[in-house]
Amino acid sequence: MTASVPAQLVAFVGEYLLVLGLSPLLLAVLGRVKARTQGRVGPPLLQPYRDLWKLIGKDAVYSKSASWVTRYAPAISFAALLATVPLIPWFVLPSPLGTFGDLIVLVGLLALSRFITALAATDAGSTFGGMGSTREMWMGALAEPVFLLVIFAFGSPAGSTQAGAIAARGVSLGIAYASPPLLLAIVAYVLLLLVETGRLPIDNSATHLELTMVHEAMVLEYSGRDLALLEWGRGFKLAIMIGLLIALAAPWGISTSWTLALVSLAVGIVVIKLLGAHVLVSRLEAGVAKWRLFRVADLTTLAVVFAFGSLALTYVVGGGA
Amino acid sequence: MIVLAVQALDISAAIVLVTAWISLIHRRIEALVDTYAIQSGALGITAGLVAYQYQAPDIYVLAGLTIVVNAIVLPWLLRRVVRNLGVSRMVNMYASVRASALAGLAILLVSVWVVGGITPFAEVPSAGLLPISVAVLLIGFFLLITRRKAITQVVGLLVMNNGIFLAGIALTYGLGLFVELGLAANLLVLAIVARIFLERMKESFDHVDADALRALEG
Repeated sequence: MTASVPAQLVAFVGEYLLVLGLSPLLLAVLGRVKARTQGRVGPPLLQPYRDLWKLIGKDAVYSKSASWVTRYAPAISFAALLATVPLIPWFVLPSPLGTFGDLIVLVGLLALSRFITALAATDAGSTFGGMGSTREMWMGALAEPVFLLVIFAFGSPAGSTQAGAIAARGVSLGIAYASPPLLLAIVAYVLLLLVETGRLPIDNSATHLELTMVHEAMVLEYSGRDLALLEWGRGFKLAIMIGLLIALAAPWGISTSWTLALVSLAVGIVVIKLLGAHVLVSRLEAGVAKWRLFRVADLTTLAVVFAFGSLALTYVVGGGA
Repeated sequence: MIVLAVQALDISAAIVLVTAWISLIHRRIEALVDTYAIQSGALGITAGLVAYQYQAPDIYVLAGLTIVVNAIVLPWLLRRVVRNLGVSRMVNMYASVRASALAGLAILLVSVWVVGGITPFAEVPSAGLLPISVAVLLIGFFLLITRRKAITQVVGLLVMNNGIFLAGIALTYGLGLFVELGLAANLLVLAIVARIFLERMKESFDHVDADALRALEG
């Protein structure tokens, strides 16, 4: 069922409001649950919004040796992340503009965001920036092929790499969508998510320890508005990755009709699912210590094993699409 | 309802496979034992679903026995051994973590390729579990031959046993209650013997590294 153009427009804007507006809150929930698990109180839930507001009000300071790359990188990185939002079905199917790209485009956009941030980190010539970007690109080189493999694992039963098509199959199959290949693909995606978004065994966003920091080392040169964009982008990327996992792994609840009541119910469901998934990620984070940098390859190898195993089970045992 | 049970059966069998793979990357013995406990729990649930599907009361007994013995008693015994031995709690291995994980994948592909071609079982509804159970069996075997400490080799043997049990309930709806009871009793005896053996080994050689047993003392 296709909807009228104004309805599609409202849903399109709604997706952005949902993800952009909610991502600082989700980050706060994550920090709060982690703090509680470790016996601390944790910052209030509105703290990320206050931090962003404070940073947006401040001017950016640039190093004398910085070129235009440093000035434009935060905006390009953020814009690349913004462009991924319509590729994911959040609460309605077919999602507005959902067919303008598939998940391979999404991987490319995330790579662009990663590349431009890493490039800018080396621009001003600070030692930490170079160190951070080397590590980030190394992890990216490990994560991106695995990401594609995981997408194929999710997509091969549906015969498509478009998130909308995969989610539509899940919604129409109902509970029968849950299968061994799906389980393996979910495990692979969760391992990948930790690497891709720099969560705990890989990178610790709460410290600025010279020896271990990755993302923090890259944004060290930034201040004011630019830092606000980069920090917002970080939470935003986590929300995108988790939103994609929800759409691929548990699409039940996404509305397939355009009636107002059903769509608003679907919005409520997706908010609950996002909150729940963030709580799960923070429980996962609270249970592990930071790993040695080179063990990242262990994690991505395991993700390859799960994704490939999922494909094997899809085609040989499950009979395929 | 039956379709749902078959689906739940497939998924719990997949959990057994997932835990077998995860056991390949552990570097601490306690984590390995915990994963084994989760695997046995998933196996017990699988057995319970098979029992439900075929309405077979003796498999219910086996499912309960698997959960009690394999998921609770054996891990508890193994944890006690690890704690009391006072040796390093790291898993020493011949193959690196990455090589082990990739070997686990290769094992699945080989067992899918080899076992998937066996047609006589094709009409059994749960025949899809056979490649998974053979993979779990071989992963247990891989753990057995690539881990150096005697206690991790015991865990490898137990994972192998889980694979055999899964194949048994998938194809014959249980190997027969008495055979399984005998197997479970054997396992318990094995764990106790392994414990005594390990403690003796620690007393005599001050380590539990099976590799070093090849060298002559004195």
